[in-house]
Amino acid sequence: MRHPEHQYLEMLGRVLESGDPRTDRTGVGTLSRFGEVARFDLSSGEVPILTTKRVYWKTAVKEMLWFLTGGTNIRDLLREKVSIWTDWPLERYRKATGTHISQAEFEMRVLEDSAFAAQWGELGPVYGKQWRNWVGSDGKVYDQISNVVQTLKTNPSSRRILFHGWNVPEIDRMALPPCHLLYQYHVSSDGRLSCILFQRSADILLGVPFNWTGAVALQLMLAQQAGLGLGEFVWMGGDVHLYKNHVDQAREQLSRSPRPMPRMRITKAAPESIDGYCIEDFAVEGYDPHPAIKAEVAV
Amino acid sequence: MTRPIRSQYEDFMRHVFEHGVAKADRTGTGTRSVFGQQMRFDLREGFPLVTTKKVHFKSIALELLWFLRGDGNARWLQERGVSIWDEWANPETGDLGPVYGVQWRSWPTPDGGHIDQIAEVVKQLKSNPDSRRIIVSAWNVAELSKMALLPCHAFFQFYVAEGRLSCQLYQRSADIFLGVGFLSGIAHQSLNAVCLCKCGTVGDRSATVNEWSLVSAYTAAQEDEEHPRRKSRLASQLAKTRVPGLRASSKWFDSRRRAIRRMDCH
Repeated sequence: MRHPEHQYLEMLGRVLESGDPRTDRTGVGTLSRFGEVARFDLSSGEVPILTTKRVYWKTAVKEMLWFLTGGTNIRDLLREKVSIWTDWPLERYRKATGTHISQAEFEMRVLEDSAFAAQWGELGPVYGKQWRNWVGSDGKVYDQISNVVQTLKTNPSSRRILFHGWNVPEIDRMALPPCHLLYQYHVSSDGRLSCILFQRSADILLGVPFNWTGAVALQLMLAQQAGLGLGEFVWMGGDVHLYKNHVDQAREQLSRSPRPMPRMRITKAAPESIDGYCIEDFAVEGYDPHPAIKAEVAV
Repeated sequence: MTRPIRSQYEDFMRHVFEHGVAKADRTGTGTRSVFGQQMRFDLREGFPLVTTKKVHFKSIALELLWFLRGDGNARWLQERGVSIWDEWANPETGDLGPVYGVQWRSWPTPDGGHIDQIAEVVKQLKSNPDSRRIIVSAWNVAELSKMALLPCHAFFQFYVAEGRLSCQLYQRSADIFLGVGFLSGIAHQSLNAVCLCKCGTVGDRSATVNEWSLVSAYTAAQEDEEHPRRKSRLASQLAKTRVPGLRASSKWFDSRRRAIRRMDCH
């Protein structure tokens, strides 16, 4: 069988060779294609954590666990030594105050000073807020994740098992509108859980490998909560883009050959609820990737 | 080069028929289903209206116009002879709750205001066509329980490259025989793309429709179909036609429908 990671490499190649050169919000410029699909069979336990470069899978899983807490302040991420969301609040702080504080110093202040964290570490009503505490125009609060778990247990053939973060009136207040927009689940008649992730905007070099890892970790948790096996992970991208300052890195990655896919599993019995997981509960085995590839994130 | 509708839709239906797993469903009918499929059509090559059966184009066009009215009541459709929403509508009042069009045009905000997502899309297509956020959603979590039918085509995203407008539709639940080939599916969203295309220009260039891709989460088929005949050529005809605006009258679609009659359908 063909190595599943070739789907990623071919997509990266298509974006690099035939992507539309565009300006973008960040000013960096991208090459982009619209409407890409990748699909992975998780039933053997193998997961799409890329092997053609090292993916810091623990960071991606920690981010997913943070989403599940409903948190929207970078402080909790920083406590877990995850800095991937710092760029946006840092930029906001620098612009608002005119100071050229370093990232390390900014993160230190967020960690040490709760008032500072409340004022400057907040990202607005991003992912976790919408997933766990979507507020309607009537003020009622909806926990989409709990609804998904409940439906997986009680009505697995439903065609409505989905959640998303695109709360139209709140988008303006988000540091970044949801990129990995919508997660939908499907249970086959033999009890396997599949997931579709629809991503409106996909930074193919830095974002996508992370988003796949996080989504699969969530799929594992949901499957365990509902007592299901694993089916497929299907990814659908809208604007799939390569930043122009990532071209060399993309070429480097394309020159590498995939190695055996790793396996991810949850190492403990199912906790009471989806809220009962922590990073120590996840194990990735057989992961022997090519070296990491460094690239700047566009803010 | 995208594959034309004739092979994509029909091959897809065959795929669902042969490989779909049997599933119980909300309606009690039972389905064969597959999860996570994509079709894409280059609208420069033609309008993806299914030709292996006759598709009632007027209903498609009127339903879209009805959505664009921001309407949540089946009366307007009924007055125009379109009965597709009747079985879900309140028999007394025609009310359907805050379905598709209501969310598209007037998604309610906590402060009592409303957001017109379609107007936002038009604005962005004109002023910021490279945006990665040109999205319309009907899946308003807080209002789902008030809807007579939940959105099946739940999200769509637009994309402009080289002055050409593309559209991606995410459909969480897709009845491939009736839905995808017919109302909520292919022709519908293509028309939507054409409409938006015609009501605005991108910079100085007039935008033309490029490509439309259907991302279908979940499809169910109960029947297979015969071989396709030639596909319709509506897109090129539409591209030559001026549309007054988003609230285009159904007369405009009637004139388009005459063009469709020339199609060779089963």
